[in-house]
Amino acid sequence: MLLLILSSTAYLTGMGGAISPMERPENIFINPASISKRIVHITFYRPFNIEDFYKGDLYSSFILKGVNLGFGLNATRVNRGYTRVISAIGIKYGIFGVSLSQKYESAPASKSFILNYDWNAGIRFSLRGFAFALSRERLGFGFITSGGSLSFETTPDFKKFYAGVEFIVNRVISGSAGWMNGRPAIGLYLHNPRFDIEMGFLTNSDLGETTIVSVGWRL
Amino acid sequence: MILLILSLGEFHGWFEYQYTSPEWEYWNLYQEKNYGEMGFLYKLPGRTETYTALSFEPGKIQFKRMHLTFQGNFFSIATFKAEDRHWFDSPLLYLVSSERVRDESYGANAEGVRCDLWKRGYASGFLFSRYTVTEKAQAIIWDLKKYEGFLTWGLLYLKKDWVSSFNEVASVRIGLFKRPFELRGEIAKNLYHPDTPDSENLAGAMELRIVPLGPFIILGKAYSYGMNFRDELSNEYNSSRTDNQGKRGVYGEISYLLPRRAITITGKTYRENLNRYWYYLEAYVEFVNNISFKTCYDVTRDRFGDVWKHAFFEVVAEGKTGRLKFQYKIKDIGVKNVEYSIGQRSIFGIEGKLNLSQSMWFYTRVAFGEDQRTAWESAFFQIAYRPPVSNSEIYLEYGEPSHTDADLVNDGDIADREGITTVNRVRLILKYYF
Amino acid sequence: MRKFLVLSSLFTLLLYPETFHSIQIDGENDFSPEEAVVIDNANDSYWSSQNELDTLFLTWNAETLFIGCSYTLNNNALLIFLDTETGGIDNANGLDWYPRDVRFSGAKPDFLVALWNCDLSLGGIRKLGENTSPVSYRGVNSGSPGEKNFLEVAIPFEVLGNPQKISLTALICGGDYAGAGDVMPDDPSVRGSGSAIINIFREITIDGDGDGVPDSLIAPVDVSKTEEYKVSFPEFKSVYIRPDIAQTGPVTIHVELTDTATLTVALFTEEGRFLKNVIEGLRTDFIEYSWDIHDLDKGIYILKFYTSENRGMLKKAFVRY
Repeated sequence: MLLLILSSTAYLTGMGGAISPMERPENIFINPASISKRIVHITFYRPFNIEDFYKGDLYSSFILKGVNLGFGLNATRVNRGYTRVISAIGIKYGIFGVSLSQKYESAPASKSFILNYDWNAGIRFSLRGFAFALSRERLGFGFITSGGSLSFETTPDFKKFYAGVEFIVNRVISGSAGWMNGRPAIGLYLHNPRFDIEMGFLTNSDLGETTIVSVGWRL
Repeated sequence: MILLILSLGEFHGWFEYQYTSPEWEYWNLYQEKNYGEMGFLYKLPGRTETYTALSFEPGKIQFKRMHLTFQGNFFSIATFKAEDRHWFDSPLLYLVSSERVRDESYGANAEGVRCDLWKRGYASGFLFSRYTVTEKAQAIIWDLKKYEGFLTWGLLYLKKDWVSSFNEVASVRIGLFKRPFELRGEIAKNLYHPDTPDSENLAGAMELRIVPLGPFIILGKAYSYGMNFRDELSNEYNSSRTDNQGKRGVYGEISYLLPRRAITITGKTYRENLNRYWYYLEAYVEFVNNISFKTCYDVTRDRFGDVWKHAFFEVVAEGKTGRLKFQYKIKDIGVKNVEYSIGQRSIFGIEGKLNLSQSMWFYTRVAFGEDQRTAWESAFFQIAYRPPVSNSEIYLEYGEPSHTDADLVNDGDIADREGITTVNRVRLILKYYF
Repeated sequence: MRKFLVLSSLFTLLLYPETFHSIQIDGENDFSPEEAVVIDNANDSYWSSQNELDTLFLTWNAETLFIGCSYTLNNNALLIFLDTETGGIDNANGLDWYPRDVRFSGAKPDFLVALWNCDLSLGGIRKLGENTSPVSYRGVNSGSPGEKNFLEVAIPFEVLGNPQKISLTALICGGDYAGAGDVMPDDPSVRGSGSAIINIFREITIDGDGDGVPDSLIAPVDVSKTEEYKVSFPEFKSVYIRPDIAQTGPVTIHVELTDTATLTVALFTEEGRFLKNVIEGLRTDFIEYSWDIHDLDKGIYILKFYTSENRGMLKKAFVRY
């Protein structure tokens, strides 16, 4: 039974997460083939602790008649006037997954809101602890054990990449350390049979540190 | 015949190869280290032992270390080279720091002779050590002590001779033990040092420990170091320790173990002349599942009159699959716009070990710091493999481990150096033991 | 009469050696007392007598600057920073060669003479900037670790940019990114550990009459003085971008500081990737900048406001939709 690590602080745990840890291409932030079952996750953070700049993720997935269904929402609010919401729905069957996403933007002076659509498709399979995932614009692989995992994710031209390791020491606590686009990121997770609380920390030498808080429920 | 003699002894040693590929050499791989040691241990009758080790480097075979020891029921004599046999008791004043006596440079290098005698609670030791690498000098240390019983005492004499001069120190110490009380005193005099006149050259300390007093563990200590007290064989009183010269103070420590809970609260403090003080408060909690948590807060006032405050949090967990340590520290709380400090900063760190299989694991230490102005970091990743059959180790590493090796965020390299970054270098280390 | 004049001028030269004076770079100290531009107190090093600065000598001839330094050093670095022109660095932490935990206020060094543990081959002289670059010079260090050393270097004025004045400071520091244990001229922020901001420099006027040629017939001590600069920590008083969500502009960036500072405003993507500097190295305490956003792609951006003098920075988000 493979442990699929699912968190929006998948900034820190890498591949295996439905949400890519790397700088996200707009509209394509879920690898639909990585949808797992029965979870709801909410993430909140302020990039680099800049005032009036908020980001959040909501992610949920469940199984219906052998098919994994996932739903994700990524919201950004800047300077109390600009809102951007990207939502995606995904379906996974076997090793294949497909998703459709849509962007909504609103700014104070512009009364209309912009809608645009995009799609993603992915494939993910694993063999003896090694896992591989491929989706539009992302390539990832990892090695998963009961004590944690090592993972890599990159763009097909290998220009941007993420590497991470997760340590699952016991049922209560786990941690991760990763390397994302040239900067390190670390995370600490606390688990309970129903809940997860996660705190992730990223740095950027020019702009400082971002603390990401995430809460998850197993349904 | 030679084979017979050889077969009576034990051969052991190790070889180490290091291959490095640094970014600044355009990732070209080169052999950084090629080193081996081979030692021959021969146990002779009469509890005599000889050990010789040769070291091997490309183009250089050296006689690296040796010892010849005789052990009896109440004595032992050793003559040695490049080994650490330089310890001497000085429980309150720390008059002998073995790294200052053993000619430390990537390990001990001194040549020397050491004799120890003991009988019925009394003991005496004598050491002669000659420095061969870091400087031209030699040291002599002698002690005599009674170490058992209600009353213990000791005498210590040391002398370091170097090219231009010498330094002599003598000390006396005493101890009284009656559970749970332990009372100790130690006093030392700098008999001669070229830089100091013959006044204010005493150092003394007295300490009372109560272990335990109910749920408490208590320690109190008073100390006074003369302005002209110098001891070149100690880390505390050598010529570059200007901060310890003329210091007088008291130190106290209380630990409270909460009854029926695995919580320990500790308070420590010292107050010294020149209005220096330090207060430290710590709480340590142990949970089930091998998880522990520690937090501490401390305030220091230094000899320049500045006050520094720090706070620290740590979570440690251990299990069969690995180990995890997470730390967060806030250093120099409230310090802003000061010329000689980079100011208030937060330092985060994680250390983890993930067992990939019985003989392979992944280890990492990542720490970063952030202050008002910028953020900095250092990471170290390592994959280690110990093949189950042979006595070898293989490490593949990225980064610089020395930035975070002194307890992660508490290491001065990552906590105090704003410009520090991960060293872009891959290293492959192969070790073989036989 | 002529003999007397020649003899007396020769005599003057011997008694009061003045510029031009060509020093032999051979490890022997042939500087004169009038060329000892900085004399450090004995035993004021925080790191014991084995790491102690003694005296800095300076003189020149028409083409070359000569610097000599007598000191004691053991397992540490000797650094001599020279400010010869505008520009330069204010933070030695960022150097790619001999980075140290020392910052500068008032003078910004352009050149560094450095060596490690009395070995000049492990050091040298470089021009400082984002990247350091070696410069040609002649130099010799005589002495070994733990005892009195003498370093002397000759640098062509052409290499230094033909400066009119030189501000300098000399330090003994530990390894990479470490702080300083001794400094000359003395500066109270050097305490043996931790970082330091050097704001006290020795300033020597090379070309007092501004004729483009180094002055001759003067004693360097006579044209040297110690300058102490104010260490200011300019704070941001008010900073805003109006409007902070814009389609076409005009957009005004308003910055007010408590003190004059060297201001830079940098633009980043929402993920933190650096794009460019909107305002760079502007010396001011107030500005209302009109920012042209026509060539900016639609998206969320981060603007970072910082000065080279203070330790703080401000970040604001901006949206072009």
